[in-house]
Amino acid sequence: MPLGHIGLSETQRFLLLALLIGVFSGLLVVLFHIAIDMISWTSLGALAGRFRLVRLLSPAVGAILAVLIVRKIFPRAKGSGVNQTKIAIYSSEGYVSSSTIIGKFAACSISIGSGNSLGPEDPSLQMGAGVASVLGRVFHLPRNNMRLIAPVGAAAGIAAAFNTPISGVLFVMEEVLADWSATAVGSIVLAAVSAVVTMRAFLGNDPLFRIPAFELTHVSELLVYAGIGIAGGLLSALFMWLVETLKEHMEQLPDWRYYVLPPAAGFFTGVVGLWFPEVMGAGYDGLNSALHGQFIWQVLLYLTLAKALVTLLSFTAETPGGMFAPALFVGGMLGGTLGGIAHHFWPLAAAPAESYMLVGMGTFFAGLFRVPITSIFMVFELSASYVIVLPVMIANITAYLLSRKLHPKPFFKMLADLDGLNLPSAEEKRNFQPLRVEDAMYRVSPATAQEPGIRLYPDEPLDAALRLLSVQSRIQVVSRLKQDEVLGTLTLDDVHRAYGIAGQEVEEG
Amino acid sequence: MFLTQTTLRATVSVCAILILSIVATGFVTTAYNRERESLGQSHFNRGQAFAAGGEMNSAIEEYRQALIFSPDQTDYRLSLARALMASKRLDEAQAHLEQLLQEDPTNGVINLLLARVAVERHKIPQAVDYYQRAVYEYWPASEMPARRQARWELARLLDQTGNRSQYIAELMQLYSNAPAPDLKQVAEIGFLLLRTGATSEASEIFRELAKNSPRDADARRGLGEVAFSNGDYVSARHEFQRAQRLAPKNEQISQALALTNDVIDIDPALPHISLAERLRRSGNLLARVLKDLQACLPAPAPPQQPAKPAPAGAQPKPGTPPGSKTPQPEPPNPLQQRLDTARQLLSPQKHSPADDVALQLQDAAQQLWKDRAMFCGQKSASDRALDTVLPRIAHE
Repeated sequence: MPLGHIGLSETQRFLLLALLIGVFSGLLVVLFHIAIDMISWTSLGALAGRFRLVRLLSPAVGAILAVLIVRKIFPRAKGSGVNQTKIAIYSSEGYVSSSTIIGKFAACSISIGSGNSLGPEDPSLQMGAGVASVLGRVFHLPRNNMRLIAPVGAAAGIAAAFNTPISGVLFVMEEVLADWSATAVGSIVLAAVSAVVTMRAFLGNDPLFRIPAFELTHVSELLVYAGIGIAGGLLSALFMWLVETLKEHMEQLPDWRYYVLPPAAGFFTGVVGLWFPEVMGAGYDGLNSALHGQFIWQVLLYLTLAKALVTLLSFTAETPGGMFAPALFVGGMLGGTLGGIAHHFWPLAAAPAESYMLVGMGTFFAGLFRVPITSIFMVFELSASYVIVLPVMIANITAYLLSRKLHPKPFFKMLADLDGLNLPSAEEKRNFQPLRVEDAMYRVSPATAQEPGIRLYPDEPLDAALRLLSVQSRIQVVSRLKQDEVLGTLTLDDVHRAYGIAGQEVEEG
Repeated sequence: MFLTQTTLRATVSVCAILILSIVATGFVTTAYNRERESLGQSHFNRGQAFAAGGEMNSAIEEYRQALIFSPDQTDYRLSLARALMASKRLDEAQAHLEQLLQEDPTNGVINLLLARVAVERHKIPQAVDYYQRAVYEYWPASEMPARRQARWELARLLDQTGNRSQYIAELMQLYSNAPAPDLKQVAEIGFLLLRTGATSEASEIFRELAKNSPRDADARRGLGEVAFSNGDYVSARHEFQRAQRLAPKNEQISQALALTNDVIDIDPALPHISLAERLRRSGNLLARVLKDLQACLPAPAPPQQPAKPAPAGAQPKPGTPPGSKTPQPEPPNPLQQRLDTARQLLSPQKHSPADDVALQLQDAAQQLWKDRAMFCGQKSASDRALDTVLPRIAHE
């Protein structure tokens, strides 16, 4: 048994498993991509070329088939995929059933391929998490590792779907996994990279978008980029409010809504698609065309509104599919619209509208999903341009802050709340200010003599200090710069008082 | 930690499944890529058929579809750009061409199309830049005639924009790279050079052409034109006559020969002619100028009748001031005087064969030529011979 004696640490095994997860997820995303394209070529290409009515009805037929698959055969495959992955991580110990992967694959490839305005990235994320979960079970990973392995698969899935490894990693770290260790980060990066490499080995090195050269013609253009950020922030907040309102109203309807609303939304998409075929499906072809200046700004405006509307209807009707691709589409078209207007009235200083489109792609994404770092890196990764960083940062952060101000609840948290789930939100965690030792300690004179035993520093979290107080009832707090200088003391009473004061402040706030 | 038996079995199973998955995905991807290419090709073929039939909008749609399936196909994108240009959708065409140029900045075809877009948009400096890149960048072997076409278009643009030296340089490049059997094109280059005033370059081309193709009428005509431009009308007539023998029905040669004969008939400044001949030609010159001027002047008013005495008691016409006298005939104007002088000079009388008489005739002709420009507009379109001879005499 030569292999039986190969000594591998747990971390090494975990990293190897991450590599394997990446390759499997990459393969799955390749097949998912092919399935969507094949269905799309048949329904919207060959058949729609012969019969115009097919283009009208295809999304509706696709939606009803996808809904039947989800409702009747694979009930665990419902939803966009992000919250379902979070559920797996936080309440099911990383468990995602293999039937979820199959159901997600079948339902989403049919709904997206038939022209419903949804994207393949969020389902890819969940399928990646599913692959990781299945492999974790095959290798009998311990409970704590099972919980860690699902985000690794999620990163692989989304990285392969977007063909952007850095953004895949960042999204999982920013949205899915609020707390992460060095091992988790290493595994996530490894899985994302191996998934993207696998995907490129089969589908080629072509990027998701063919990006035109970005140029910043004048510093004053940054004002226009800030304007795009404002517009992206406003639109994303409005979109979230509409999703929330519509979903609340739909919840009042009886169960038949699950079978009626998706095909109705699909039919509406088909009607819009007769005039604007670019809005059908994920919309990458339309976005690619627009990125190369093939639409005037008035058409870009129509496409922004049309895509936002059909996506709103399809998503709230719970047609299987994700939100990432439509978010990029809406943001890109919005940026292009404003860029076109800027170019029209200010042609000497303003860069071509495509540059604004590129920057705009991240704004709606940042405002909607509240992942500013991912959105910045995604555009940076897609454009491979260093010049773009500054405009993207300005636009995306503006959109993020404005959207957060107008609609404080993040998109996935809002969906979870509507579903009656209490899932942790990474954004809420980031915003949470934990109490520190200095907030609770009893201050003493610097001349106080040192006592033997455990010591604390003033900036340490109070939660951590609480654990130490079970060992030692009174702990001295010393300065980090002068270890012999006592700043104060901490007891259980001090901690209770601090939490009490904090609780009172929260209530008052 | 060591790999346990269970883990080992799981590892082997997973590896086997992985290999099978890779093979299966490979097969599926190959089939997918083949289908993708085939769909792209069929859309492209349909686009070509539509374009050939002039249905550009349908062609554009088909090319777009083809590009969705095969976005890397340069031919598809080029065809789409051409169709868009044909439909005057220049913004879209330019976007596609710029995308192609980004991928292949040294492609001559793309630069040529971008130059044409720039010409359509009246962005002349940009067009010249693209044309120059088109001419000097890479061209596939199958597209070489288009490269020559690009140089022709560049030359014409330079001519239109008055960039004479570059225009001549481009024409000379066209001449030196001209395909061997294309005599017509070589002759065309020669005539264009001649038109722009580059007579020595044109002469070189026509001499070479005549040497290589002695039976080429255009070569002889070209040599005639060169001689005519240099003021060597006798040689020009000789070359035109040779050209006419080679192409008796050629209208251009006949006209050129007639013009040369006319010039010789009225040019008194040609060297090696006798005094009597100079006098005769000077007379011819003045007669021709006079005829030309009379042809464009308004017909003279009929001579006025002498006013009859008004009957007694008759009222003067309204508006006539009381006591006004009968209008007197106006004195002859300076032009009329010069016309009369010219007629007198041309009247049948025996001129003494003296240089001063010939000079008088020439001076009168020149003066009337100036009058002609003043009263009849600028250039003489009807009499090219006069237009050739008179400026030369004035110069001498």
